Amino acid sequence: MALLSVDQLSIHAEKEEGDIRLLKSVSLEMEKGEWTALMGPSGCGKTTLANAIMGFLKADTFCDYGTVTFDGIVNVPKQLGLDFLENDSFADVRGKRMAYVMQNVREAFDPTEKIGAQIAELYEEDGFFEKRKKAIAFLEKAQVKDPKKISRSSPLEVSPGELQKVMIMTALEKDPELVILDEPFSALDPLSKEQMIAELQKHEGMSVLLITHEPQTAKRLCQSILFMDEGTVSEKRKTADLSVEDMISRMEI
Amino acid sequence: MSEAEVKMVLPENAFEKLPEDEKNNEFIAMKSRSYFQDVWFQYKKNKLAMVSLVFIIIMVLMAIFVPMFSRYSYEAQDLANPNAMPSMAHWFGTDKFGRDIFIRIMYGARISLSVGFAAAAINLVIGIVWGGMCGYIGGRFDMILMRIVDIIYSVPTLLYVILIMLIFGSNMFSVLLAICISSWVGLARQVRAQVMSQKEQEYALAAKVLGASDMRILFRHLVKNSIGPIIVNTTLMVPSAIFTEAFLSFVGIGISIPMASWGTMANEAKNMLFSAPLQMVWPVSAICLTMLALNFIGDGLNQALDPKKRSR
Repeated sequence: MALLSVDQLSIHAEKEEGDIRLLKSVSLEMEKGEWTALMGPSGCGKTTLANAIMGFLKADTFCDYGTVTFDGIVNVPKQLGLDFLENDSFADVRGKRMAYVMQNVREAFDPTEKIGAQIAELYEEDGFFEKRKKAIAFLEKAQVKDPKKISRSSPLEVSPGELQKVMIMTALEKDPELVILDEPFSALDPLSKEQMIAELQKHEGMSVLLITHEPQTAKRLCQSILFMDEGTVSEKRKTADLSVEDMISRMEI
Repeated sequence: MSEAEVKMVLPENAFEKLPEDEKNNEFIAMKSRSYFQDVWFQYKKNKLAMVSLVFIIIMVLMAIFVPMFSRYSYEAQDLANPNAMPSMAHWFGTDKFGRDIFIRIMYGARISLSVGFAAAAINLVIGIVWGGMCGYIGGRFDMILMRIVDIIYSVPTLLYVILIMLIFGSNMFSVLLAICISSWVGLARQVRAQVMSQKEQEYALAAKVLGASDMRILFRHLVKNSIGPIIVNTTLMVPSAIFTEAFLSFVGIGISIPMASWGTMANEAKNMLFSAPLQMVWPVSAICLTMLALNFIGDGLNQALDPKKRSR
């Protein structure tokens, strides 16, 4: 059985000018240990799909039909907060067995809190000083410049590249089985990108859903590629069958 | 233009090297400040707000310590010496029973300030919990809870006050209850609106993705990020509570005599308005100055907390 399967997921957004269908009956399957790239033009629903797999919808967005199944656990995406009262089947899975690296790294950190304090939240069971020590050790492992300084900085003072490294390492911290990366290398220099790819590849048997605009990266890292277009998955191909030029031509449709 | 021409346009001494001491000019940036350090820095610039803050602090300290060490008490009468003018023995004079007005003003400050701050604190807690839950959870839960708020809001405040006074009698507890029962709804609405907009920020989702609990996301991240308007609203709630208490005591349904509240003192002085007008001046100016100072503090905080309103 597939590790992750999305079954006919349909999502629409209610706007003043009328409803917009963001996802139209999207289905996909991912096996354990499989690296899949998700490509497509901007605004075709890649990020909406990634959010929905994690179980979230943005405000004024509703799920009409379909489910997300992770290792036998079935979930329907909901708006944040609603699962406080309704059943949230991914509560135990999220953050432990499935992880997510968001596109806007800078906004993915609480702007009023120091980075060190936010990382310390990962180690909830430890004492106050123990947590801080672990946060600095964590930043050292993430190979950021000057870990102590970054730990004391607010997210607005740190470059997006460093934040992206921290974000990827945070996702990998609990050794997840599935990680969704939404343009994870967009702010990284080539050297840091290689470091992060090496960190990802250290986790054997981990499945990766990589949303990217770089055909070279997709071809190098992933076994299969999904192309999305206007809310539907238009094509699924093995990477070996496609050349970089083919990918670029599909992105332009 | 060919390359040779470009070279001719730029003579060799067009640029000169920076002297050593100027090399670091761009490097020395301002020391980074945390959010609340920044707010304090902005607040300090506002002279009126600073003076008001000092005034309120002195007022609070005096209200706490002066009655402890004074030889007078708020109820001890000196019938041989009524309606005295200010003197060294009685700084603000005495009232018609010969009670020292200065010490009564200080006792009044105890009552007024504690009513003001307690009401604001209670409102803050109820407002944050109620509004935060509504804004975060949304859906039908939010709908039902906000309709309750609407119902509370639609009944006139004075009606609650009179009903509560009838049931619980005129004392500090019932004044506090009367003020709190209707004024938290405004704060709850504001917190709800703030939380709803903060909920859409990516960091809320990021915290959830990392497995943080809903309570933690709501109170540690969302409420903390919308703390600015909440603080301003709470600060402005203090003077309005003080005013309500003074008003209730003045019309005779608030703090009951012989307790010295500024409102009851003004009420007692109104009979003596023409023979001893100073007796009215003291409680009224105490109310006025406190209200003004608290409003200036609220205003200063508003400017300091909202980056758009800051003066550079």
